[in-house]
Amino acid sequence: MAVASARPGSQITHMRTRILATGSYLPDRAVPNDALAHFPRASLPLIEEKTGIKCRRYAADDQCTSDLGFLAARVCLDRGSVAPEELDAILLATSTPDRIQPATATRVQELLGASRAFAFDVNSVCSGSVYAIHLADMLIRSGEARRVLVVASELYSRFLDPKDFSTRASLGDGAGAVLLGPAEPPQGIVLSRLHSDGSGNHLIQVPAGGTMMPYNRLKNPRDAYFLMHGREVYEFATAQGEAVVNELLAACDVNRSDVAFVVPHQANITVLRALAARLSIDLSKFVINLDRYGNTAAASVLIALDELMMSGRVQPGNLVVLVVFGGGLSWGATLIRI
Amino acid sequence: MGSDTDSDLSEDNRQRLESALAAVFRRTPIHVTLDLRLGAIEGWDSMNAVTFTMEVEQAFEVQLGDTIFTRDQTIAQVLQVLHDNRTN
Repeated sequence: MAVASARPGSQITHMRTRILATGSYLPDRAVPNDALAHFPRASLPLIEEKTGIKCRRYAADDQCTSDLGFLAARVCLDRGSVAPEELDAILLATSTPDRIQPATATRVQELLGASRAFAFDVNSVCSGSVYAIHLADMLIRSGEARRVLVVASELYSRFLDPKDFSTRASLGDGAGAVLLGPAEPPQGIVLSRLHSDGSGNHLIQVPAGGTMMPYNRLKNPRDAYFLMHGREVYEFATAQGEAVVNELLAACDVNRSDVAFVVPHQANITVLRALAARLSIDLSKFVINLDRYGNTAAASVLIALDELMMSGRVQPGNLVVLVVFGGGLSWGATLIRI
Repeated sequence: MGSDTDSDLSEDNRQRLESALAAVFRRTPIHVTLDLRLGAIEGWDSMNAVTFTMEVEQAFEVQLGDTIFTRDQTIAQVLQVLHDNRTN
């Protein structure tokens, strides 16, 4: 396949990047709230009341993050009628990689047989999808690539503390994918805005497994689990989620009333209600699937985007905002004209 | 097991409660006093109240059934619940 002639360092063109296809994969194993029976029975109604989550999916014991990503990617490529060999790049957003190295994206590449592509991971925790989409947009608009597959795959069930009600009730497994390619304006990605604030890097983390706390120095086994300081994260997510969407729309000279759909990170329903209220965008415009899948971290936006694209609700010309917030702290938003 | 005087903040009870809180909030030190209201602990919310209850069950080796501690309860009231649980 021909690759555009622009070389490294070439100018970003006025060409845009559009969605060619989407896909997703949710593991078969559904875990409804009442299956979390090791928590006090009286606590179980709190899950739906506080998070909006009724069910989440857990991967099978023999599945890993790349397996989920591969299955979402295959659906996406099939729908786009694009062969794996046509891919120039695979960007995998994950915060639950197969291994500390190599990049999980390379196993997705192997499983797909995408022999021409280069593949790497993006770890911005729950913000990873929008970060990866922005990088893919830059690759395409610079002419470095024409077919870029962005995959987001998460397998949090392996990192959940069985005694931590907040995270155990919230997170689930899943994967989404979006195939991107060049387009002429006005269709395509209009603009992305990314931000991070490292002063909050301790608020969402898996403490062990890296150089800061290698497994061979692990004293508290619970340090191998995901932890999140929920109160602080709620304040951050609602404030920065609002700020980045307002920043994005202002930069694009778009009114909030012109936005057809908001595809948010599926943190929990309390965050999404607060975000909708702060933005004065009706919650009915928010694509929400956390009731069925829980919070699937980086994957959540791409799973929700896939559901939107396959729903028949979205029309050519619609403006869609993706908005994410997560560990790092990191946050971002992308405006797409379908 | 907890101390013989559960409703007092004995050194043993204090250590157990502080360990439970450290496990929930993943930070130390969190100093407890009898009049400390749970909702005043930085980061307290209704979800980690469940985790705290389970940590207390383990720390004091008790089964609290459907009891979930709430933000309005004090450490003294937590100890009273534990005391009542043992005597009932």
